[in-house]
Amino acid sequence: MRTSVSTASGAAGRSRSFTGVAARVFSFPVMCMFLLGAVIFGFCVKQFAEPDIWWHLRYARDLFQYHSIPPVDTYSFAAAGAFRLNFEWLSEVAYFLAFRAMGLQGILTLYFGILVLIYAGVYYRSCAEGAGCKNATVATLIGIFLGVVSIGPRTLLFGWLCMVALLLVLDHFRRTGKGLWLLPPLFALWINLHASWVFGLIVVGLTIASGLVQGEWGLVEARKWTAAQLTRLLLALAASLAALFINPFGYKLVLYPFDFFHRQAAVRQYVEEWQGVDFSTGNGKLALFVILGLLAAMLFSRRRWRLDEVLLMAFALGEALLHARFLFFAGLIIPPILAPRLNLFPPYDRDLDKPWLNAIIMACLAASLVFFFPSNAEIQHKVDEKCPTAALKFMQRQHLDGRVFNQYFWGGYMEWNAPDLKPFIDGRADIFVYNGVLDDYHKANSIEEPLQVLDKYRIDYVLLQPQRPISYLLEHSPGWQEIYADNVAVLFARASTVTARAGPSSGNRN
Amino acid sequence: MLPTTSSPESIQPYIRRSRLSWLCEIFSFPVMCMSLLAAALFRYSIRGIAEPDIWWHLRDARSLLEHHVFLHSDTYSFTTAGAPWINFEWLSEVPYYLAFRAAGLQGILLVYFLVLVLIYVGVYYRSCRAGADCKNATIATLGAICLGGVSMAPRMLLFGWLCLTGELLVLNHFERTGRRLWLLPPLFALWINFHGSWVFGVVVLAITIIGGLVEGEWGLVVAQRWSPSQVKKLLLASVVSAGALFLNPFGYKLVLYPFDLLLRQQSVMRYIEEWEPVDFSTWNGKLALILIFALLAAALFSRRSWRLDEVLLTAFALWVALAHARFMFFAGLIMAPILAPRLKLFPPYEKELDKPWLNAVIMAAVVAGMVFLFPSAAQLEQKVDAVYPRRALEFMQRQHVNGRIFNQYGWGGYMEWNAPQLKPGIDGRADIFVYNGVFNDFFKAMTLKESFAILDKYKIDYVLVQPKEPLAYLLEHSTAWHPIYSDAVAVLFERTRDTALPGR
Repeated sequence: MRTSVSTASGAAGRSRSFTGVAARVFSFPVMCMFLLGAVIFGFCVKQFAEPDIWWHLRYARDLFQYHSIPPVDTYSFAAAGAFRLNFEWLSEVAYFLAFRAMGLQGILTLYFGILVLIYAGVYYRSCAEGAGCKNATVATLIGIFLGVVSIGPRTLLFGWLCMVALLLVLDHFRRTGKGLWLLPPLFALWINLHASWVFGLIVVGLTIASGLVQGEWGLVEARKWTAAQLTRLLLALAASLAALFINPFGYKLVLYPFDFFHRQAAVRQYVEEWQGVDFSTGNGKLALFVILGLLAAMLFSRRRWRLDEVLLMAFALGEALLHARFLFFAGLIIPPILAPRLNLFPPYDRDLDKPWLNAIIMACLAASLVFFFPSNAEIQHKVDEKCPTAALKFMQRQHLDGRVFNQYFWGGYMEWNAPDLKPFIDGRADIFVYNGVLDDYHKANSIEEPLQVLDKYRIDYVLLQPQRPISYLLEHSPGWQEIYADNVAVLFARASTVTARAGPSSGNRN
Repeated sequence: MLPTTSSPESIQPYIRRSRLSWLCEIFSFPVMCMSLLAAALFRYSIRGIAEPDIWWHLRDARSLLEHHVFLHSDTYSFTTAGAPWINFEWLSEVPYYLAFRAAGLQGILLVYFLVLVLIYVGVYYRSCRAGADCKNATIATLGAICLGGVSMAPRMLLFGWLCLTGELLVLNHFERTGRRLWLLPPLFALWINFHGSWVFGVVVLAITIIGGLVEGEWGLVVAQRWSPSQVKKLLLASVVSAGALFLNPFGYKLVLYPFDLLLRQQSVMRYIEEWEPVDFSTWNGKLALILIFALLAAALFSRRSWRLDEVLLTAFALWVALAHARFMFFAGLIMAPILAPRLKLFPPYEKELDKPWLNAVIMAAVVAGMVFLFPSAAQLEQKVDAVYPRRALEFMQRQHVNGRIFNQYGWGGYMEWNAPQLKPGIDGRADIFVYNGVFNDFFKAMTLKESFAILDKYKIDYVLVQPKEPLAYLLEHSTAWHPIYSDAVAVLFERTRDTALPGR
């Protein structure tokens, strides 16, 4: 009898345990994360046409083919032979492997997956800070919208993934005093994935600094680290600094961010995402909303602010406003700070949860994801809307051979799809800054001696978007002739080149 | 207390002490701080004389004072000749013109310098009244001055901001004493004739009223309800002020004008630099960043409560300033008195330690410095000539150039004032050019979008632009145009005879 009772109670226990697991898996908070995943998916599909992915793929392909990272440029003609540090090599490998496995769908799957991990981390941190899951969802949604500026197949997403991991480790340490041993391997990975590890160091630095004082000032409070905590933090920091040297380029990769700040001012001046937030754009209005939201959180909420929250918020906000690309970073830092100060919804009540309904919603979302997942052809079509696919095919058909002055963000696409047509410039801005090419490109584009720039580099062909001012200039210049045009691109040839080729067929305007 | 016997000898010490204390008030440290702020304003004022719109404003005022008639249609340009036009800033133009008539460019400089001094005296005073120590109030006002740098020039909108300062003083006074609201209607009656910024005055008034419709405490924010009599007075003042807006030469049209700007003149906000959002790469933008952080720091680190109207005004001012750089001036007026009492940068002012003689010396030095450094007419002309095509216009007049001119946007007013027979294609009165599409066409041509087609569309014979403009480069490399004049400021192109338009 005892056996059947124990069997029955064991079965009941297992059944309750399974129900408990199912209730947790299909809980309302998890369903909220699925909704966030659906939003991320929507953005991922829209924003595939990232200009730099192509030369990243080429680098990774060359790495696999030749088992070495090319130290000098061989892709363009304007910076041919120039030394280049490939500071994102490890992220490129991931994208290339995904491409090799599933083509463009593989790339989409990869960056979608990274983004889900990133924002799951943001959502988790928001909940761990004490926010109800509904308020955490709203805060994470704001983080997602702030991150739209960088949603695409970008290597920097790996950097932000490392950032989220760093923040989780620091949160865990703050709560339990453990976990810091993860930092050195994290930084060792990070420096090979992307240069945003500098931000990671700053975050660690601010976290340590905030615990060096103790006091209360208005809403802000600071508590000193204990001696043991401080020792561990400093040790972890030192070990992390040492771990940065675990990379194929040694100290050069560690010094690279400083090179960027000191020698590459032109990148920050000319490249759009490095410029300040523009409040007339959707991103800008959201940034404005976040600033006012922060102010409201400070004024209307009685919850105190830890000093590290204040410092991190100030750093993230400052960087985001000065350089729009860091809106993404602000979207990682600010939501977990804002979320517990939001009181938009009544708190989550576990007793009212309906796992079966959550499961249905989650299943529908997953099914939609699969149903709406674009095919390779559909993704290629989106790429063709932004990149000069047809123009390059024309150039290859016509066996055009010469120096091509191209739109900045088409360089990588040319290098991947038509490597024999070496472009003038691409998104690897650094090598083009060092030799003045980026400056000259900007001069030509903003109609400061464009014809002189084209003569200086002995350009034979110019491949641009049709509505550019320089396109209009060349259309009306006797020294240049339009030989191809469609909705995406227009191709000009130097009149002497056209004559020398004895009148190739003119292009078709679609 | 006066002695009971009132002989002159016994009163003398009291009169002397009263004069002395009066002098101590005049030469007190807080007043000396204001004189330093005036010096900062003076420095800004000198830089801004070459304002593009002052010229057609002067012409408007001359027309009004000489012909005693308000302009209702355009007679200055050829692209909008005869088009209906509302001169919504007519009253501000008059003091500038009178000052110009009296003392030329120096007179203009004096006018806007004085207007600025009055504005920032108001800001400083309000900061002190809000409870800030004079040193902290000085810093906050200096911050407001730096934010206002974007508009420190002979601009009509300064009169609008002066009215806003007047309104804020009236509202502060009403909050303290319950009186003086009767000043609002005449203020608005003046304001609508000065500048379209009266709309901001309406928003500020509405926010002030709304701030007192609820009562409660939420975190650091407190709200105290207006008493019924206060609400009545405020509503009455609002209604009468709204009625006073119709006291203008253009009637309801002037009242509706700001809505016209918002709804029909989107191009202005798209193409005119000061209507664009703050650019954080500029000095203004960095100031805006400092302002944002100062606000957040004030909210976090100060224990002082915020009134609900302060919160709403701050949010509004921040939003419009970041969305449109020209309103950084407005943000400075609003936020300085809000931030000042929350600053604790200096130990408090102590009257006992004050040194009136030292203050008097400093103030005298500031005044002497301003007089000494006040630019001569020639120096101001030089600043103007560095920016405007004076020599090019002289050339055109010598050559009897007669034809349609496509000009740099910022030069249209200067041409209308200095060479009225050379009617420009466009000037800073953006509105009339927006209505008929000229504004869009102008900027398209300047940025090499169908430039030749636009020059043909308007049958342009001459193009007068800065040498660095993309359009200048295009025309330099075109056989259809050739340069006939060029200097460091301007280049003038003429349509080549062989490619001239048919019939011309």
